Amino acid sequence: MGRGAWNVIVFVSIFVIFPLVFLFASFPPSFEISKYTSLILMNIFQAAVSAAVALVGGITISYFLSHRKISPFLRSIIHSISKVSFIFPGVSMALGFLIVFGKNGILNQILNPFGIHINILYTFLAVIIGHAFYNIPVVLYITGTSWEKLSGEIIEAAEIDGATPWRIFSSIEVPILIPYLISSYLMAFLYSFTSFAVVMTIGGFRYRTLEVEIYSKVSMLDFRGASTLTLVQMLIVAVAATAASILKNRDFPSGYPKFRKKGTLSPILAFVFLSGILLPMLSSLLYGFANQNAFKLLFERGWDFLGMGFFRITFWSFSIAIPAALISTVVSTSSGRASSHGRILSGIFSSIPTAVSTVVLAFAYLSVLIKFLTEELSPISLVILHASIALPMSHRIMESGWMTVPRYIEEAAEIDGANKIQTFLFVDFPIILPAMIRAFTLSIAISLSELAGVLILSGGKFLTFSSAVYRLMSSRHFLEATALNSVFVLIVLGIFFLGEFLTQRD
Amino acid sequence: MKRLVFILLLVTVLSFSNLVVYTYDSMVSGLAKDIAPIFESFYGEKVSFVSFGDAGKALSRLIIEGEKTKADIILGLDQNLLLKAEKYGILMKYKPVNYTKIKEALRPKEYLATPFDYGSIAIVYNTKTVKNPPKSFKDLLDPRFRRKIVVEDPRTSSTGLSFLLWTVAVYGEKFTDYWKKLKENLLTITSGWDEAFEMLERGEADIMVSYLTDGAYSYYYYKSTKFLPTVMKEGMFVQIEYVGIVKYTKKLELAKRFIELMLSDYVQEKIPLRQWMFPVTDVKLPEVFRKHVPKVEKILELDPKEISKNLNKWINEWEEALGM
Repeated sequence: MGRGAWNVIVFVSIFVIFPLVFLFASFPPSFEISKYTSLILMNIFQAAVSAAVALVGGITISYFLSHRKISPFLRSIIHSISKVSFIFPGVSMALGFLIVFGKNGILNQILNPFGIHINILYTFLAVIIGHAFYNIPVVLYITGTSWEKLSGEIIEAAEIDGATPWRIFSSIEVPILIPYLISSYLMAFLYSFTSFAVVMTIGGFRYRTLEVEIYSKVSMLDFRGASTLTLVQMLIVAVAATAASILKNRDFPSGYPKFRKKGTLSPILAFVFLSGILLPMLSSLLYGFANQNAFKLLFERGWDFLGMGFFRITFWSFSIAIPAALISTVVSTSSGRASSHGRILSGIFSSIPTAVSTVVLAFAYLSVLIKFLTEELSPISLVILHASIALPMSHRIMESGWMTVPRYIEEAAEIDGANKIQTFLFVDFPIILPAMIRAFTLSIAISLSELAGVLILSGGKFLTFSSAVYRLMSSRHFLEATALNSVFVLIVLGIFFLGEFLTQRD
Repeated sequence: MKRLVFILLLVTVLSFSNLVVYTYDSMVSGLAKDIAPIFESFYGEKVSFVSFGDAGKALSRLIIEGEKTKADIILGLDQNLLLKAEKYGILMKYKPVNYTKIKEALRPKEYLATPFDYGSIAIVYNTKTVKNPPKSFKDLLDPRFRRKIVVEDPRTSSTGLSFLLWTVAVYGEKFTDYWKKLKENLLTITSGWDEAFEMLERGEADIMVSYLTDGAYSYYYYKSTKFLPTVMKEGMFVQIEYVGIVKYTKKLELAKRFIELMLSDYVQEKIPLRQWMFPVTDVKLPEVFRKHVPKVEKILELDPKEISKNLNKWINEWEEALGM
């Protein structure tokens, strides 16, 4: 076992496993879950349907990308959208849905002159649409990339044999891609199953997730109930996350893609689904800027209500995000190396936080803070929480980064007498730097976007961008929320694209 | 990293070196703005108002923090949340010097906390979208109000808890039957009053559980009566808000002064137009209150001992009725 594996094992053991063990020891879960049966079943059903719709949307866009020859610029834009979804703040997405689908929202303003009025907020449909459009990019990210790389030779061979496009799709492409389709379905299921901000905002009381219910139970001091639901959620999430992870690493016949120009259905459907993704995102980004009163109100009464201004919110947001990103990048740099050298435990431990939702981990931290430490450490606990939740993704990036380091160069350096530090600094570091930058910026974006942990651990004593937007939008300061949100989304996107730009040569 | 940790700790500690008051959102953006400067000029000490959304959440936070809390005062508990605070033993008894200024009917017997305002909760509706408003609990079940009503969660909101108790006062043990029917007309349940009022103002909901003074509020700020309360024929339910000293305070003298300040004419005169509630002392009411707050003929009451004994049971039954 390499040193890198030990680092991540120690980190995850101390900051993820121990708090959870402590939580369950302090508040033993009750096994009388019959009270929660309908909630659990509804949560599973909602996530299953949301993921199915996301899968259909994702497949449609993936099909379009892998079968149509389009400009590289348009292709890169669609890929960027799929990546952005991973870091687009949940609270901003929810705000986007309110702006678009609200009773007086954009959609109704367009449709009302035609006598049509849509009233879907707080319904099952709203939750499904919200989650589906939020997760289509996840499907696109996992499936689309593989589909585009699918060897064109196989398709050509089938065409020569007289296969119709449907036959090629159903008998060749889908069977080859099935592990990726299942994996992306499971990821979309997981995101929908543990959804927080979207459900809190547009879900209403009928369609809560376990994540939201755990948060409510913690707020109401029902720690035993929260602990019970935590255990149920962890079991379901662990099964789905493990299956998704196993399936995603399957090999498949890659090669040069084969593009066609036939058919108009796939571009039209792809356009519809892409619009569904982009409309809430763009509305969320632009609404505050477009409404001249929004910023005026934010400065007149928004800061006053929040009890702090833009600079203090920025200070708190980055005081948590930067150290969290540093920790996540450092830990994943060593764990990624271990994984690239075949250390299985490193991969397993770094993916454990995926199986533990943010609310659950924040709840566990809170129980440790109350018992052993002081609540004044809550900003530090948030740093560690955010580092933990960013770890799985930054580990994946760093593992890929380490894969690009040729083993023979390291060996040559060692033969030349370089010690491990010298080898790392002068051989490995320049090669993995782009991956480190990407892991760092992505971790910052994840931390800035996170809401549930901040709500639980900040204790109302400080605000980050996401919690400030949430507080404004849920307390009669909607316009102010849109203004702050526009700036917030701009910052998150700016950081994300800066990372992409700096690592273009990767 | 160590330096950053130190700075973070320092900022956190410095933020709480003054009198700390746990409260709810609208207090921070309202009355607190009047209290903070006057408290500072009187006593030379700053006062920080920390909000957790609704009063129920502020109380929960205080209970979670226990003796490690930085809070000296909790502001905005109603008579029902006060029972919970009493159960957890987190308040210090204090009989204010100005006790006799409090209207006799509102004077607390146990001195656990001091009332600072009161008012009736009410069903409030948007006059533009609801032409024939509900006048009774039965009317609220009318299918024309399907998915138009928003109520607050009694587990986190003092307004929501008062509404739950109001239904208990009207229907007794059969209140769950009422909620099962009302569920069909609920658009959603919010965690606090602010969130619900936001929905009413934004036009997402047409009816909400709010306060009898909302018509006066609407007239005062918008010179219109867009939102009006309706007086329910079964009777109304009064909510009293309290301010209490946290048992673990290290600034007891300052905390006592804060309580006295809440009963001063200065703060009591601000109550109507800041809190949109009635003052607990005999100060003059603004004209908008006299003209635009409907008269209440019948007040419903529940025995505090009954509430204390049954509250958890009622909340559990409410959860079951709504499938929560």
